[in-house]
Amino acid sequence: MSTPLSPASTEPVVGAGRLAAGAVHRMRPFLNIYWAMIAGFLLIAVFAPWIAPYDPVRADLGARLLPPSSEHWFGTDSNGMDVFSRVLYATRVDFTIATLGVASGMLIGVPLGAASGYLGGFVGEALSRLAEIIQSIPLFLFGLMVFAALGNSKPVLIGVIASVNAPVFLKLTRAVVLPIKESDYIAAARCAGLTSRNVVLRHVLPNSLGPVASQMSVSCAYAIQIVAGLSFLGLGVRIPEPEWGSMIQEGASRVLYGEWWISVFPGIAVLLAVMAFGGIGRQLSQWYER
Amino acid sequence: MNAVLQGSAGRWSLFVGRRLIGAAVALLGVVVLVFVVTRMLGDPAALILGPRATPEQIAKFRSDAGYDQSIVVQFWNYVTNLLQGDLGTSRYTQRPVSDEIASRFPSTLELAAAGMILGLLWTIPLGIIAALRPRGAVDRFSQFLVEFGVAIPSFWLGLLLVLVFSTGLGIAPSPVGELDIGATEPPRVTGMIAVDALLAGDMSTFRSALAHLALPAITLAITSCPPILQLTRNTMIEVLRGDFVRSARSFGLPERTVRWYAFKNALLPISTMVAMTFGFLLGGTVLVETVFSWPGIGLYAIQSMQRFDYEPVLGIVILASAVYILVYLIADLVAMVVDPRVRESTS
Repeated sequence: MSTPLSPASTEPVVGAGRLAAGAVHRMRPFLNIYWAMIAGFLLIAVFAPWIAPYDPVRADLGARLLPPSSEHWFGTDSNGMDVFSRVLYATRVDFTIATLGVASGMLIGVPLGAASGYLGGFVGEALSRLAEIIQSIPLFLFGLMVFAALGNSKPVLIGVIASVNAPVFLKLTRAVVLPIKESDYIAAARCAGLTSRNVVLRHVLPNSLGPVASQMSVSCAYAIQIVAGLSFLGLGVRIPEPEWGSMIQEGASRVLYGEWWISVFPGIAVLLAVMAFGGIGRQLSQWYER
Repeated sequence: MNAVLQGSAGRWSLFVGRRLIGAAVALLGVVVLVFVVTRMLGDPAALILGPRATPEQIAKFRSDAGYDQSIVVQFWNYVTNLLQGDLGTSRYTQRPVSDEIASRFPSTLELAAAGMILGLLWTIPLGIIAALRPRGAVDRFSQFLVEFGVAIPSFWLGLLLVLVFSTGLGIAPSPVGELDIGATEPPRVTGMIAVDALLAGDMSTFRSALAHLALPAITLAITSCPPILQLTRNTMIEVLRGDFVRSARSFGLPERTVRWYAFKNALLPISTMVAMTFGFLLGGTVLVETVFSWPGIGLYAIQSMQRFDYEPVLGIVILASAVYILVYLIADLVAMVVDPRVRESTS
């Protein structure tokens, strides 16, 4: 009673302070290390040209394989390129490809999953079988096959990520839609004369928003790993364009000579990005399950 | 009595038959998918001959390889070849792809088995201990390990291990494959170097083989097995809440015995998960094999890719998927034999 800020106080806190407090309260689920990390990566991606001390693709043959120093924070690689600048710039490529791939996979998988669950019957069964078939091919071999057939380029890499994610979203949406389809309120909506399309769009799909959002974050985590992994194998993004996986590949042979910095720093970036997306995914799934 | 037996036999064959058909359909689906992606979306002639090929060369190649026939005829030929075990010919070595894969598969099997054994040694005990006190210190620590193990890129972890244990401490050999460069291989029996060395009684080669196996196997054990830990923990927590555990405790059975009963009940989902992980390891260790120059089918796929030699890549895709589907089928059938609930649920 005596302290004005006591939580039991019934006196309304007025003005900007209250608004800010309300905003903070609503934002509370999003104030943690994972979201901060993603925000950090996004800032780096946007402002890379202003933060990076060097041109990420300029080879300085006089400054090859320098260990980390105050000049070159993360050292230089075997072409004399600044590893720190390259790690910063690589955020752009890795995040763009991963999120574009996952978003396309979601845009393909969710409608097909909704159709598969809502229509049921042969079409539904066939679609979910197709998803299982794609998932029974080991992921990196699937990537190799697609690159072998369609050539080595960034759009193909985005396509690979989209096609390994579409089955995930298809099965997820189908699993959400199947039980809802039989529920009373869907029957009511149908009796009210809504067309199938409207029932799905207004009453069925909104239920899948939570799981889909959570899965998108988890998928982005995997997508970053896939982009880095395939680029490590020389597929998708190629040297000298800065990308974490191809940078790790660039330094792999130098590890044997103790020149660790070329591979280690981009690997840390991959690890942090994957952990951040994975953490947000877990958090979102706890949030909608409440 | 007879009728009951017959009924049960009928249910068994129905179950097995369904699973076999399902597996066959899945495998056919993979073949169709590979065919569609490589022959219909992509142009094999242009890919194999490269960008500098003249139109005449491409036309000649297409008629030689039968790519100018109708797509149905092509598919029929493709499937009949596959059924005869013909995965095509490597352009690089001019040998049948199936021979090339067969000579490399034991290396992959050896690595996958070693990784799996190491993985089980840490994930299962830790999962059980974590389940005994959910949200306790061990549980929190193991949750962190799961999060970390799933997030860390396997190829990067492999490089870190090389950096620390090979370059730094000098206690592990360089990542040059199964033995040191120039070392004589033991007489080939199984194709797995460590096993062959042991069979030949060659202890120094055996030790060398184990040393080369250690880092890639540890890499796989850390990056591929965390889902097993997670599942062991979750299943054990659920089983330990069950009525039969409460009854066993109320009968005054020692806690050790109760835990053993609980573990036996949790074993089924865990073993399915282990089988799936192993199935993926058998076909999916491309990155780790590349880092350690491990001469298995993953490295072969990558090398073929770099030589623009595509038949081996497709052969390995089909084989790895077949292995995965087969392992999954076996796990399913074992589950049916072990657990009557699985049989009941399908009839």
